[in-house]
Amino acid sequence: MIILIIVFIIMLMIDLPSVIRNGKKKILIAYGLIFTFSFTICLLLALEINIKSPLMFVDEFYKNILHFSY
Amino acid sequence: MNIEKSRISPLQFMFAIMCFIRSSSLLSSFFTPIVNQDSWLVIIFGMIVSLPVLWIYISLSKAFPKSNLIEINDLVFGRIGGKIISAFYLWFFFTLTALNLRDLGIFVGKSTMSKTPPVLIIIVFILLCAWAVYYGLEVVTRYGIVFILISSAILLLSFLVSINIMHRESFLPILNQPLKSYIQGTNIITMIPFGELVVFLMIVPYVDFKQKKLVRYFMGGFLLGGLLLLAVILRDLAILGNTLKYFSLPSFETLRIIRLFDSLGHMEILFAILLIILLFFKVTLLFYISLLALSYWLKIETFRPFILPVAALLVAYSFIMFESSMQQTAFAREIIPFFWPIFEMLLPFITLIVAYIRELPKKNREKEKEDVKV
Repeated sequence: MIILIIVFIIMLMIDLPSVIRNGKKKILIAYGLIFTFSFTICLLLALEINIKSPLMFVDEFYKNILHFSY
Repeated sequence: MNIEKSRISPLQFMFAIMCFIRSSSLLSSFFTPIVNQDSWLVIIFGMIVSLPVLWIYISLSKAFPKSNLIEINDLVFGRIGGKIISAFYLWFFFTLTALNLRDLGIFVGKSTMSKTPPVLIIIVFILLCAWAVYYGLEVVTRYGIVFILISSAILLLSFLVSINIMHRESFLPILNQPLKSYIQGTNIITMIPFGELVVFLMIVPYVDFKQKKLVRYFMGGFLLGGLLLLAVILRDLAILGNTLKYFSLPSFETLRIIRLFDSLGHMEILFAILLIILLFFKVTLLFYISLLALSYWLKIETFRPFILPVAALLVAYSFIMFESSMQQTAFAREIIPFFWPIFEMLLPFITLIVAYIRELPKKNREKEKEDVKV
């Protein structure tokens, strides 16, 4: 987990200066959102918390509700 | 808004399509156990069925020569409708990238680096892809020609050295499977490598060709790529025969049993190298397309700051998408043939119909003529 946090801090150190230098608020907000989402998912995975795959929702929807499958 | 400033040549575009299809030879085990000795026939059926799908893509590209798929959605369905439809495509592009990334991690783990954790393989690989993506489309597609030449040379070599262990009987009996198997097999092959060519709608506007030549290069790439895939299946089938269905990596096993003289064997390493090269190309292209689509969707002029966070997200996604390879194969065989058509056939077809109902291609052409006059 510590490795993960270090990796994300390094990522921030690489990207953030250019994002701030760019000066556009929109890019900064988008970067913040994508970074937070990515970090959250990776953290959940590192903590071994079960994240349901979106493809499994599709699988259940097709098999149990639509009854569409070979 | 123009995020991608570089342009690629029509040949680069054609070889990119070939490379994209050729790299799917890893996935032959999705349909070989269903149609057994008729796997080669299913590829031909798949190519025939894919022709109208390709026509939809080409028509869309011709109708909107200067717009990529995300921009086309905005033009055809309006701002909000376009955003919603593009969000689905965005998810589809990310899923394709993560799926291929996962395939690579599993393949390398199984075949060559069995003691290395897959996460390490995937991280190193995505960093390499991120490096290529940083420099844009021209760099991503530049080596397509080289990769296709290397893969074709290895394919030819494997044909030559294995000719004495090929059996004509492996193809018999022809057309002896239940009809459902052919439909399922054709459906899988149409959706998995051929239909995925929808991703190229994102890069068509950045290819330097006149519109009349679009058909030639798009179709050329598709046909040549399909023929290469057919050649791979024919070789595997001729050598492995009915045992083809028992292997998850038929080409790997084929090259494992080929022996040249008494001393030269274990040619499967060639397959491993080749596949890593081809998957590198495919993942890089898909990663680039996902980022390009994301920045067009958010209307942001650059995708470069998002490369690393998105790469981390893709690594995580590739791990959570399936619990096991068995689950992935079952999903590919049973659900993908019904699910992928939404992105590969239905949505592009609806887009084309709505565009023609709204007479957008005509208006687009008139606007272009006015721009030229000005």
